Amino acid sequence: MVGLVVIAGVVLVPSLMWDYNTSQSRLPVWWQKSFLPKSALVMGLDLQGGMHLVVSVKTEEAVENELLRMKGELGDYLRKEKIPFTKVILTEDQHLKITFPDRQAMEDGTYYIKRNWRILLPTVAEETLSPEYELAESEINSYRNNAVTQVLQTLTSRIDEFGVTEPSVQRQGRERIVLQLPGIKEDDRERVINIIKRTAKLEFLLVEDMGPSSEAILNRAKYGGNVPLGMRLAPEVDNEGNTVRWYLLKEEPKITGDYLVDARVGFSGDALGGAVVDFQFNLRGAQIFSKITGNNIGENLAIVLEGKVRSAPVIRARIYERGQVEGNFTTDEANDLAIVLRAGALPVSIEIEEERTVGPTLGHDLIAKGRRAVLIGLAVVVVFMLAYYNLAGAIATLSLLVTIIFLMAALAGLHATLTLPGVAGIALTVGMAVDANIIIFERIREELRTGKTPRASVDAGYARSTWTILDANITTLIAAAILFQVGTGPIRGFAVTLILGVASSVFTALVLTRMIYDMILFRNRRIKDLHIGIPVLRSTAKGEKVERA
Amino acid sequence: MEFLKPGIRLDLIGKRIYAVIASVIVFGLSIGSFIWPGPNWGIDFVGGTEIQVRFDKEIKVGELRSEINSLGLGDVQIQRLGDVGEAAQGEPDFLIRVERLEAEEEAEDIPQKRVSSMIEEKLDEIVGDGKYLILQVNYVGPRVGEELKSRGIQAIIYAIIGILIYVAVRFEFRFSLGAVTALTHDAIIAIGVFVAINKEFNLPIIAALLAIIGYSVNDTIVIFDRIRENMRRLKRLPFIEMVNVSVNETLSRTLLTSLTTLLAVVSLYILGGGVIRDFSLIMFVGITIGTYSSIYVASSMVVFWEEFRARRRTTTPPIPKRG
Repeated sequence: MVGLVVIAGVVLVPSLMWDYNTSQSRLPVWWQKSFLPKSALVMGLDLQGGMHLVVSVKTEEAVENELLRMKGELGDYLRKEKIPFTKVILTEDQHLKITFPDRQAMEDGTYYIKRNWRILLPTVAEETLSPEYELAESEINSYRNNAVTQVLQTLTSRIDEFGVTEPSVQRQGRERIVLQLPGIKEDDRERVINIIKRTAKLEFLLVEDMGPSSEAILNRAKYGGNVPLGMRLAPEVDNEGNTVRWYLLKEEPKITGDYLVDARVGFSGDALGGAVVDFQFNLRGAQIFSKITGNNIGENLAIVLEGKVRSAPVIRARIYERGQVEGNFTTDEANDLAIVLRAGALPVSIEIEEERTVGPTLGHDLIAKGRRAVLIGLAVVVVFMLAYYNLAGAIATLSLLVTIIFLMAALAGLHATLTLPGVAGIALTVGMAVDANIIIFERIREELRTGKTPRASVDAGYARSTWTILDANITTLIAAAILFQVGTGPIRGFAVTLILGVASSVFTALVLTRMIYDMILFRNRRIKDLHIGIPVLRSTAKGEKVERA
Repeated sequence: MEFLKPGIRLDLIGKRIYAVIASVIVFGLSIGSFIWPGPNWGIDFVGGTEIQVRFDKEIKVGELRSEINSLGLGDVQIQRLGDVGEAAQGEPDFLIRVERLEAEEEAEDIPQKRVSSMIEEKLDEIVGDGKYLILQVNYVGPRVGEELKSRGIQAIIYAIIGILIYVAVRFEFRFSLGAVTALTHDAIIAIGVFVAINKEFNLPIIAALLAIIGYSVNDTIVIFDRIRENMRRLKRLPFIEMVNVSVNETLSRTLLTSLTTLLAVVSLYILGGGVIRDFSLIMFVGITIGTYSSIYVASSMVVFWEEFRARRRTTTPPIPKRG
């Protein structure tokens, strides 16, 4: 038993030597190098302050993007095979529909697809000139899965770049990601959310035309009111969100931010000041970029970020590797943009489902209060136990302290998180640990009153109460286990504390206190007074049991 | 020290009719309160944004509310919190809550999380940047809210089933009936009290409810254990008397345990802040009612079931005597 306590103590040492403000351990080096435990108690975000975010990944976009890509490819391949077709469209329910001009083409086409595009499955069995195909289930799942994995990686890089100590970015279920970012200050909250949310899709496109509004452009004679094939419209937006101008951009040739190898904050040379983002392409990117710029000197190159044109400078000379994105950024904005460009674009968009942020101020407040509450609660209970149960009360107090040590050690060792409800759980554990002891002591008192010797009373008391305690506490365990299963975050912390607390309190109440009694009884075999808080009986001459005067 | 005399024999079970009446009334009221005024569902369950702000100096709630209302974010609730943390005098803490706008699913420009930015901007306007501190932000999207609600309810149901099975196995069916009656009684009344004082229902409350359920059964089982023991020991006594004896014998322990746990909970209430405070309040109510229900509701149920079975037995035709 003593051994156990020592082990528990050792497990706790790292927690005591951990500076919660700087997240540094103050353990001496020799300790860190040994096999001895090094991890401190993990504080929940609601105690130490930080952000907890749950985002859902819009995997449908991934599937849609794939289908769009396939649409284009299918058309190309059919043409290469010289199979005539009228058109290929993507229907509303995510099917690819090809229209063939005649039966022969349809047969050639469907045969070709069946042989070379296994992942496309026909939706109807009958033959028709406009067969529809859907993507195989396994393919869809794999796209969705990949999308989530990619998002996971990108978000992790972005968070790393931002510089959070001990962040946690984990997948939750099929399409959700949970981010835990300790220590985020109140002011940084917005920035972090922006960094996480933006798709950061960067594209460089050649400008075909520009105008004050999209209608103004389209109404020009050569367009006749429609967006020409292979082009798209995009607005230029200023920092307030107002649309300044509209552009008609050529889809090809283009280069995207995927080819970036670096992005840094810089300062533009002009008088307005403001930060800019200097970027650099990798080798392949540089090749493409120099070709685009070299072939289009005198044209405007639009730098499009997340679908909006940031700037569209004129190409004065061939550019190889480096360039600049400007747009009246503040230093913070430029820095954040550089971060997301470095970490990479998100393949699909994400949506924030849940946010729980606790500022460090509140966090520290709550830790202090929680600690005080538990200590005083403990003190009150201890005082009461001593008064009511005397010596037995002292034994109970000892077992209570050991219970708490075990509980904290278990939390630290298991890397479980201590949350605010967890602190409440500790308080509840205190109450229930005492309960187990009370059951035993009341039983012992009963046995004493029937006239048994102290020794026999202790034996009987423990024997009779063991199952009572087990039955009672197991039901609490059931409730706590279910809570653990069903709960998230702080609730889970509460459940874990309760489970560990109940387990250790039952253990100490039944085993530890018994050992102590054994020790006492061993020393004085014929002890007359157990000092358990009730008057001692003594036999009179008549053989009755009477209270000692 | 002893509070109760050892040989105590109060006629608790005999007087149970009063307790039953009282319980039924309070229970009925609690159920009624679900319909009106109905529980105050927190954002954990209905979605929305909650921001806890500390201002540098006093501000008028009315002003604050109308300013935030003007943002057109739908239902706005503003609550003044007691001194959370080490806020000095005149540094009030407020809780601003905005419920999710309906049918705003795909509105790109007012995604809910930007509600918090909009509110922050507004605060910059009213008091000035730097004159306030954001202590805490909670946002729950509609999907997550629904999930949390259903999971919360599931949790409670599973817990009750799990307990019912365990007690039925370890004791007898009628005991588990008594246990379940008692804990349902406790849970409903505890919720009723909360609705009555209009506290917000969030996840920690569900956790507290489960803790109460666990605790109440804990209590109840100790008494059942004694009844089980006395069933064998005191065969000669009529059932109802035997139950009464059992309850009396365990009275000391039952009251003491509740007392000590309440001591712990009360100190949590006084010294804890925010979430801990709400939590301990519901624990206090739950433990009190749990103790009461273990003594009366659970045992009464067992007695009632026994009498019910006994009555059924006597109405079956007697077996004709032999020879």
